[in-house]
Amino acid sequence: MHKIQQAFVDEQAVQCGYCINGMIMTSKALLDKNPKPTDSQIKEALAGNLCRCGTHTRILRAVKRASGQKV
Amino acid sequence: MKTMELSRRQFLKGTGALIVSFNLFPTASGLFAQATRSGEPDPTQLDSWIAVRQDGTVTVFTSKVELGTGIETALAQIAAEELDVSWRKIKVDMGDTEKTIDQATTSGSRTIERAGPQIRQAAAAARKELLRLASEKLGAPAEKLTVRDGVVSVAGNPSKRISYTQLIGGKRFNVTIQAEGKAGELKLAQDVKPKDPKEYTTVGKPVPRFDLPPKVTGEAVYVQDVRIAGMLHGRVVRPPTINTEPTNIDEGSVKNIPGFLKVVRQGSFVGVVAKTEWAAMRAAQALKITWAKPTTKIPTNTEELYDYLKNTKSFTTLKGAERGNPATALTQATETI
Repeated sequence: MHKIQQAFVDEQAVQCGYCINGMIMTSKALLDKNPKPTDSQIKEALAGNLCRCGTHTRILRAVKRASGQKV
Repeated sequence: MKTMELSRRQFLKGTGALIVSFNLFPTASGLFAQATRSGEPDPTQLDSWIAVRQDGTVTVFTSKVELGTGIETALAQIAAEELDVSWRKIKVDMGDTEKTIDQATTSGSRTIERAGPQIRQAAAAARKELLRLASEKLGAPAEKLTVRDGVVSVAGNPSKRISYTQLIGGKRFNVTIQAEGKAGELKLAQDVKPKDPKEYTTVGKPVPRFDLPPKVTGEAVYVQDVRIAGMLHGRVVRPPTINTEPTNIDEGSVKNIPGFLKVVRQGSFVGVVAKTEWAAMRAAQALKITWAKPTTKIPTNTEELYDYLKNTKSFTTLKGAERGNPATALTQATETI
């Protein structure tokens, strides 16, 4: 498992999972360009991926965790 | 996959006495719940709910499905708690209507409230039977037995021990349990006393969700992933407004999309059919339609909208599938209900 996928599991940042592959791929693109993004940079990067379950704050933590920053 | 399940089931129906031989098959796991005499799972059979496998895992059968709320894990925790088995060893076989008991639809946040007690009682009944078997094997009364992660031992004499797997792994319980009511109202094994919540070690503790790893790797199967032979994909092409219909549909605008098959029109309804979902989506977006001027004046502001809604007569049209002649068929039916 890629460290981003693992971070999503570690943060239990998934409910139904529909949006999650998009969230993970977009996060990968973000971290490739910006290895230590801020919360607002993560939010902006993921804004195009809609999640109706409501795991947003966990997703945010997962991306921070994957980037090696303090969660 | 479906065909294989059916043929196994059919095979079982005709060969009830040979069930033991299924242990030779690599696909033997999963047979327990469906191998009841009638061919349909019976709520009064413990085997319809719980199966102890030869590999030390325990399968719980439930008609509930994991929609993302974590019930697969939660039901596993409930079963693990009653059985005194680690939650890591619990597998949950969900949603197969042919091998699980109807516990009502997965909706209304009712799984833990309704199906939870059903699984709890089934697991408590399984534990009771396992202790009865262990009591015979170990020559000690059931009250003197303790269980730790699926291993039964005699209190004060831990060398006398036997595992659930040794007791019944890969075999059927063949135990009848009480079952009253149906679906969400089903009351199971009410005569069996479950564990006192004060002794809980697994329920109420956070456990990593079973369904997450396959979801983050893309392995999880969703209903949109289901493919059957000859299946086509469709998309509706919505009109830009109400009370309009196409005056012209330019099929040429989509015919070069690979996989596109046809445009369907029924009155004001327009749809596209394609070999793949992606082709259907592309065709629905690209299809050039000229829509007629709406037959009613479309409200342009909130005042007009209010008047429009107030003065528009509501109507309902319900139409199911029509095949043959229902009126004649009803008069000719041998039995009507």
